[in-house]
Amino acid sequence: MFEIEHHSNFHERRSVLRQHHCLVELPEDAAVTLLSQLSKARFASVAYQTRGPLPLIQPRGGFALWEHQRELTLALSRSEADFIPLTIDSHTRHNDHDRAATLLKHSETTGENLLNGYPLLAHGATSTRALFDGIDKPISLRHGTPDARILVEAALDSGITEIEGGGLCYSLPYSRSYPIDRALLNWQYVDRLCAYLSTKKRPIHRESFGALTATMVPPFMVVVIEILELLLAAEQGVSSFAVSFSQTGSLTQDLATAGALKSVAARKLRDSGLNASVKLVFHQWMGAFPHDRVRSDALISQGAAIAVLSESDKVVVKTRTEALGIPDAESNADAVIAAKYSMELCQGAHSIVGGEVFEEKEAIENAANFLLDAILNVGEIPLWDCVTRAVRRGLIDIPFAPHQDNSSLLWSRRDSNRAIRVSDPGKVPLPKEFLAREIKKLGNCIENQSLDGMLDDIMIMTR
Amino acid sequence: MKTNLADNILMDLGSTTIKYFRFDGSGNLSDSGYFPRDYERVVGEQAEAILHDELGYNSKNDIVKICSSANGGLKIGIIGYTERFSAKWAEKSAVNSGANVLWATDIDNIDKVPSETVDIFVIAGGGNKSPIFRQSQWLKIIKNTPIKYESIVFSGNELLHEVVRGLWPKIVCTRNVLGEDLNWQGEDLVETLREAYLSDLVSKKGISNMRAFSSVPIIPTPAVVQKSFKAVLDLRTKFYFSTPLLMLDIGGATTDLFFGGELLPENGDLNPRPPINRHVFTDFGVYTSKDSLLRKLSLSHRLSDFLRALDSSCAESRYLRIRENDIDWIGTDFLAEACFFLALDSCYSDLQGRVNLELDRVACVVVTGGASQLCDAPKLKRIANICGASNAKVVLDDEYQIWLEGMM
Repeated sequence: MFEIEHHSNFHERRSVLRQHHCLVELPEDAAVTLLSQLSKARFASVAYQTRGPLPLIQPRGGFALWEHQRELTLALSRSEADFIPLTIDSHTRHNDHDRAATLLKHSETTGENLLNGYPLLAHGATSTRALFDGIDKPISLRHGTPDARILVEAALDSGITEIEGGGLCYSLPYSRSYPIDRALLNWQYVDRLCAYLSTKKRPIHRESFGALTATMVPPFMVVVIEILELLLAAEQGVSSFAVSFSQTGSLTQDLATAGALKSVAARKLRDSGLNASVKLVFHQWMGAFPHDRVRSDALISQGAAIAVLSESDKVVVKTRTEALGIPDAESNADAVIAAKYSMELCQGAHSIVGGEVFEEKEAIENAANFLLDAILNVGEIPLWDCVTRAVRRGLIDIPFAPHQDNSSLLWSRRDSNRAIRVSDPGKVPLPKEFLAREIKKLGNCIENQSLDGMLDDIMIMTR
Repeated sequence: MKTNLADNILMDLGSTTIKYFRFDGSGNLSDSGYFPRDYERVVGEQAEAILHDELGYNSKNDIVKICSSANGGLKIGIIGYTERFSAKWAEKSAVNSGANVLWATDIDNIDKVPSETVDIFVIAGGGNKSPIFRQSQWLKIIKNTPIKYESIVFSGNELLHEVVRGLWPKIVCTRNVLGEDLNWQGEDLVETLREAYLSDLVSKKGISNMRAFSSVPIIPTPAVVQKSFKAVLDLRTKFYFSTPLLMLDIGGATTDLFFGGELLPENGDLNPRPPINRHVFTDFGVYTSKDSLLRKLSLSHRLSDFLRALDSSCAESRYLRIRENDIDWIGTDFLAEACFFLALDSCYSDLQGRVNLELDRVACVVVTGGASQLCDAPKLKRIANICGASNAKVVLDDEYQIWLEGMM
């Protein structure tokens, strides 16, 4: 379906980009050299290939100071996390590297954390490499950057082999005005770079962020965005990719979404003539978290169970202190242990899934395929351009996304079983049968149009 | 070419070139030529030098007829109460009108305003119902700042009109650019600046000396092309184009579109449609309107279609460069193609405030003006195709027949 773009100017663009003052500490071929010497266990793609019966576990975490980040890294490694996160601060995410560097200096002077994550470019790739000395697990870059070219160059120079993000999932929910077309084209560069630095046995792994705003996003929209990001990456040569989704509050819908993601991904890759190994990642509840420990633990346990039942390849865990601020190293380590224990209790249980989940999966799949066809079948134009137009025309519409190009006309509510249903599709084309089913499932719930009703749906885990 | 003209030198003072055609006593074309604009001199001075030094002008024998489009491109300076809202919205209005914004700032940076004279100085600020005491003080500070301008416009809080008229008796007040929810409502300012822009095309400034040479009042170039367009439709010319016909005069400052009433969509009313219509895109030009042209191009939702029509092999890299304002590589031919595309796309997409035409009915698109020397017909044909004019033949007026016809 798509013609793989020729990037004769990729190396030219890269040479220019490498002149950036945050990247000049290492030569352009630094990542090639490092990645060829890194142990296989440091590669996310290899970890996926060798995983056991349970999903792999990845906590979250990022601190401004190198020492704190090192402490977190060691604590997480000891707690048997399968992936080590490196969460980036918000100034670096917006390519405001100078401000990140200034605040890092203040943090170093005062010992106070003035950044909400690790400022990778302010520390530099050489220091960041040292963070992971003695660690034999893959490192995952978590950020939220619409234009991540410089950050990803530095991450790869640092030996990070899993890059999260994408032109849609890191712009619509994360940015108010960064242009979608530029985000997509700049993420094309990132995908191309990851493909370029991959070898057959040690591919750089890419992962999309399907949680999006984590606020009332209907599952079919998650599937559509994840599949588009998969195709965009595969088109640039990425051979190892994870689609992801997050806990919605409805067990049935979560399991159905997982099934739909797998089947639609396989079908669309086949139809496009593209090839990639696709993994499934599950995010534990990303919405407003309960304040009390009892409810938090229950929610996290259910998330762990869903990860097993949905046959996810990896679960990204939350901590019981989520509602109280940035979790410390100990909370994160506890979260890994709790998730692992809960998952062991469910081992082998995925075969019990059936009935209602299959019906829901079919509905999600039909809606996603219908919308994907509307987005992609618009003539002989490149994929990134199809996607840009889909956003501008309101075909891709993420509830509560702050981006100015997001039409924000699609509305969703929870039905009596807590599942997220479309109450008004806005400009999103959907099959009539799907919409009729959604309205039917909503029943009387659709009549409550009040702000309080919507807030109840959003804050479902805290009320 | 034989003419029945009494005049023997026809001159066009354009933004990018000055061209002339000379006829002998029998009315035969004896000589023609082009001179690139020398931007060190005002256009009138350069034209006068050409007449004397290059054409050996003889006031007893030679009769000169002049048209001009050379002064397009108003320079605008803007002060807003806030840089983020009022200055920004006034700037948006200025760009939409086709003018070039030299600076746009707030009072905190007023000392950094360049000393260069602007054609129009725009002041904007304050919501319509906001208290005026502090805003009046603010206006007094502006009044006491030495800003050089030709004309002044106020587009702020409408409660301040009396105050501003007291401070600047000749000020023009428009509707506030700032809406109730801080949204943009600058259409009135756009129209005011657009009118000023059009009158500036044949302004006294810079070419007043040429009146002494011209046998008739200096004619605006659009009027010349319009006369020619009518002659073509009336079959009074020696050259023919299929109809329905669309004519584009793409120059340094503007792109003028001429079309017959048959291309206007049916709207159900029984009023006769004007047989000849003109729409001026004051923001599309290859020289003085270059900045506004490129800004519009970079924001066009069909930019990628345009770039693919030109050359699909480098469309993607060009796309990103334009969107990221990396424009050093852009040549005049590309700018002319961009004018052609944006003008047709405006008709095709029915953009708000622009002209909506049934382009699929167009049989011929004629391109005249400076672009006719820069463009390549097959490329323009590909652009016409993506803009819905797929049935049209594209013709370049590369010998200035249309201009000559209009000057006769």
